[in-house]
Amino acid sequence: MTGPSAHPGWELAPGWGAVDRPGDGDHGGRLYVAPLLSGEITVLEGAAASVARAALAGHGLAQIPAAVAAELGVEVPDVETEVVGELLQELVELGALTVRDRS
Amino acid sequence: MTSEGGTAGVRDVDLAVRVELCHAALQHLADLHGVDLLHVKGVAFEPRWRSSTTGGSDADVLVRPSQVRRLVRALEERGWQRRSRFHTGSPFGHAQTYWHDHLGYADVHRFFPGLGRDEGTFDVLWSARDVRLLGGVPCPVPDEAGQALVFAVNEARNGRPPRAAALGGTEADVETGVLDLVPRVHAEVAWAAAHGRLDAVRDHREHDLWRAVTQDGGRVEEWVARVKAERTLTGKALTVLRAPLVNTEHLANTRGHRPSPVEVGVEFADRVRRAALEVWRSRRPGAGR
Repeated sequence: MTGPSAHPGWELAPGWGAVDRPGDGDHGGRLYVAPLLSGEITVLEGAAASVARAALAGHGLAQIPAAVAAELGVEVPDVETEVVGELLQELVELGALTVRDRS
Repeated sequence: MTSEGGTAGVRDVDLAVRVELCHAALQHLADLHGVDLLHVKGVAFEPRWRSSTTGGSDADVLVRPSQVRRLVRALEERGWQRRSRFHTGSPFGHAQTYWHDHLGYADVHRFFPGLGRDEGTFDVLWSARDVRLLGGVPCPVPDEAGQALVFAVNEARNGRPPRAAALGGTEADVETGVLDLVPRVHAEVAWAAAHGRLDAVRDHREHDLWRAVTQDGGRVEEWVARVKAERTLTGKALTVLRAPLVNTEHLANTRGHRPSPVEVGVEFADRVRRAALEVWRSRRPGAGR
């Protein structure tokens, strides 16, 4: 994976929908994503929702831990950049997120 | 992270979330097939132009009339299941309902009851459209005057008190915008109904139909009004022919299974019995409105 400072960030993939409900459920809320042709909904909850929310807000990998920590009320070192990167990579593999085009 | 079909289960996805994603999915499909859609009612509208605070239980869209077949074909190719037909869905014959296993119900309108059925009416609303982000997808919606008008006539159609359906308390520019819009989208009768002034449009062919739906008329009265409201002789003849037929899709929806020939027969006989009873009651001495 590219280093945190060099990563261009993420955006919702074309053909996918997303509904953000920060106040739902556990701390961090829920974020729902779905491919719009099949409609199968994936639910991100708690910290996972918070990470995806920060990515969709345009934060790069270097900024996401601080954004997540602020939302969840924890210390920044408690949010492991490696775990954040793995989750976002999983969402890219799912098809929900795409790496932002730098050009 | 859980998938709706996996450990999270359907119960974990709120209806309001499904409806919003349903709007997004309809717009995506429309974009792929070059279809113009206006998203109407519920979450597509500003909160003050919604009938319920929850935003409704389905996604409603108004399709450019000349592109309805294209959208319907696209929906059915993508596995959306039709649950009602245009001519059986309501007295106005305006919408066809679809079901999606993940996204729930969508109502596809070929026109909006109370507004014109023509391409020109859609063009008027389309030319003044706004955009609302639903499920992360930009969705065209009527502008504020269009939303206010659709809300008012929809409230009237659902039998809500006329004064509640009117635009009392709204700012002057919105009301001016609506009053300007009414004749351009041929909404005079529905607008009169929304204000409890149907008598002022008594000569209009749609008057009786609006009286029947807003004053909870009987089924026979409604069918007579439907025939009268049709613009062409062919339309009138088709409406007469459909009147006694059983709405098998409605029957399937209420019973939870495809009705058998016996069930359809029983329903047909019951329809005839109820119609005869209604006619007899309406002709008794002292009956009438």
